[in-house]
Amino acid sequence: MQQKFFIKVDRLSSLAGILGVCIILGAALMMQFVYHEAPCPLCLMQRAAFVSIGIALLMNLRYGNKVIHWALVNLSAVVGIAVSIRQILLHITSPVGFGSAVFGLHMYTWCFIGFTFAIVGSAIILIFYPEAEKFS
Amino acid sequence: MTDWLTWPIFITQLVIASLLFFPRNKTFFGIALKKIMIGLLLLVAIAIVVSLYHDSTDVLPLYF
Repeated sequence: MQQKFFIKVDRLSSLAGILGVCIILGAALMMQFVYHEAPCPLCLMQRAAFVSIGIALLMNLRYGNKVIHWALVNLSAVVGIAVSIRQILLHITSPVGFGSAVFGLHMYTWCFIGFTFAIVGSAIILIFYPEAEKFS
Repeated sequence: MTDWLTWPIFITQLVIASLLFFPRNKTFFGIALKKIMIGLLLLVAIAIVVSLYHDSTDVLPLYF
């Protein structure tokens, strides 16, 4: 009973993460191709960090739930948050920011929020992981 | 790192993602594919970190 619960939670958390990454990357591609908002190098690196998070989550589904996969999610998110913080600080004094705003926030700020969610989510999973490892 | 080197990051990630389709216990020169994937993901993380000096206003030669 408990084993099935943990396996379900592990898979669902990975699937939810992959869905989130797909939504974020889809929105970025929509902004690029529909609204002609060409990405800057820092935006591209934030996308690369999101892709790394997605691959690490896919490894969870392919090779089973492992600490190292969640650690890779965490590492990629930390790398991505470093890029988004750099971009936020570059434009923090500008009254209009860089690029167009989405729901009141610029895309690099949304990326910062997304990476924060990835770090917090992977940390929560890692807190509960030792219990799940016993059953896998 | 030049602007163009942001693209090999995506190519490396494409290679990593394609390795997911191989059998789980497959090895390449005696190294498990999973370990190769983890190593490549770490390399991508390092590549992103060393690209941090870029500015948002750097122009990328993108033609779309």
